[in-house]
Amino acid sequence: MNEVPAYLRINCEVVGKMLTVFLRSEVHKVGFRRAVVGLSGGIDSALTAFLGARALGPQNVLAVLMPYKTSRPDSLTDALAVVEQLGLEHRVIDITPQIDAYYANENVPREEDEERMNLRKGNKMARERMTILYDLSQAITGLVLGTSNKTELLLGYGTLYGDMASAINPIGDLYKTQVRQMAQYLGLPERILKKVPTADLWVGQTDEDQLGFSYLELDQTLYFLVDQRLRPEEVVALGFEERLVNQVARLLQRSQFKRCPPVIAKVSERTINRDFRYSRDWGY
Amino acid sequence: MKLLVAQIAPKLGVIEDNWQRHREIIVTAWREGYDLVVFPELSLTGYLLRDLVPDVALTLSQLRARFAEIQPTEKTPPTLEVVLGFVEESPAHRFYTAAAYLRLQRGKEPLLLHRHRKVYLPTYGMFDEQRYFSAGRCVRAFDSPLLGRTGLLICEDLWHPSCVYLLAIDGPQFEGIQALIGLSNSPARGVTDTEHFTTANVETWRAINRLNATLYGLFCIHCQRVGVEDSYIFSGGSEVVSPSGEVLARAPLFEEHLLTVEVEADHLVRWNRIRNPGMAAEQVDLVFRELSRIFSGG
Repeated sequence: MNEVPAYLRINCEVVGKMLTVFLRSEVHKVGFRRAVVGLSGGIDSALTAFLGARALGPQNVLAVLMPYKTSRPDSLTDALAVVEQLGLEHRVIDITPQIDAYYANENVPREEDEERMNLRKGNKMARERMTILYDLSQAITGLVLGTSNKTELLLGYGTLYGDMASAINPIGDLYKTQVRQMAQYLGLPERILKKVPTADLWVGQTDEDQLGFSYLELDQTLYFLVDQRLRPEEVVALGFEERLVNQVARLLQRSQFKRCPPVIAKVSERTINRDFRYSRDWGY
Repeated sequence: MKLLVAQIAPKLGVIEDNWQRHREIIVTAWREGYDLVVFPELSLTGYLLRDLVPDVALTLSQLRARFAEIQPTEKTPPTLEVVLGFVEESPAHRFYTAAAYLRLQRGKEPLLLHRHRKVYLPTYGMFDEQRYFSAGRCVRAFDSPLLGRTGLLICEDLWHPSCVYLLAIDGPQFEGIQALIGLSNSPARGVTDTEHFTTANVETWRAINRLNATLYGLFCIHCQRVGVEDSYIFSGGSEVVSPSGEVLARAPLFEEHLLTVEVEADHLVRWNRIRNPGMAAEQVDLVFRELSRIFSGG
């Protein structure tokens, strides 16, 4: 059951080549040489850093490590292992002062439960990190690389305008199980390959606990629902647990808003993204 | 015959830069004694044009005028044939994904030997072409002094066997084309083949090129673009395939490449058709009768 099925296996050599071409082209053609990536110590951002270093040269990738006081200490050491292995320039910016300063002035309702507060703080931290990455990207004239994988983008397991924000995302069409294959292929530090995935937004959090299923189960289900366009009942008929399939189908629909730009009310004859349609790479 | 397949990465919507690139490649190829230069689909404009379509469109006379600018000063061979992709604006102001086959002549006006308008505009999944373009209504063979009777198709046209079939019988005594030129823009996708260094779309294109070459005994040239536009990483892998299905030359995936081949295309076609004259027995009258019956619901 822990075996990745053939339909989720990827040719890492080809994907590596494609993503290298993608990053190099998208950064260079707009006149930039450099990129910024937030390193969490997890596999997704580490893979993005590896791909960025390969495409742009390690000297052109700035890694930014942004711990909060409750972040797991090994997150920082694992992120530093990536910095060291690739020889990246890096910055460590502790976000505790700005997060705590904000909540010191924020009247938190007494009845607010812990779960909601955890989510608020987690989202706030993700957005704080985003503003730092964008600030530094301007400082070094670079682009922010995205670190969200296909699994979390499809399930909405990320913070809108937080960790989901980026200029270009090389790994957003790779499921978590495929991120792992690429990570192994590119030789990421062993500890990162083996560690339990966590958003590390509060103490003891793990992704699989929070999502309720393993990434392998989620990826298989998403593959049949999204890539093969089967109906939920057809996926259940393949032998997947009904609770899993229904949960994935529900998250898929309910997180659609996170995958869209803000909705603009149409009042004129030509409205942005409706009947004013240009590709982002217009002119490049 | 020396031919050059220009697997390039056009800039999206920047026709002047793309034209400069075409011009440089053409001028160099002419000086170096090439006979034919082939560019990919929409090579003058890029692919994901969307609302830029009218801004980058050229009328046929505007296209001819551009080519008239190319006059080699040095001593070059008298002619060079060129195939390229562009957006055509018709006199009635409709817009087509088009390909032009020109014969440039030293000291004379260029001849437009053929213009093909893409018939099949994919509009499903990742594709949205019918929203921006009108569909061509013709599939016609033409005569090239260099290649003989020739067919020119664009990308999705090649996924419709009827297009190649029509070209294969389009001529006196149903003697159709000897050479088939395809121009494509194919975003790379499908990466689950862990055995070969390729993607699913590339594998399919290789199969199509080989099938067309061998079924009809054709000399096939297929020019693919590379480069990135938004999410799309165009695959490249341009090919020149002999009538017996042998890959005479193949460009790498994902990177710009000027693929050069020196070949006696007519000799290859002759050699193949002596051994495999299958299409000579084609019963076009039968096809016509049965198609008429099917068409009229009989």
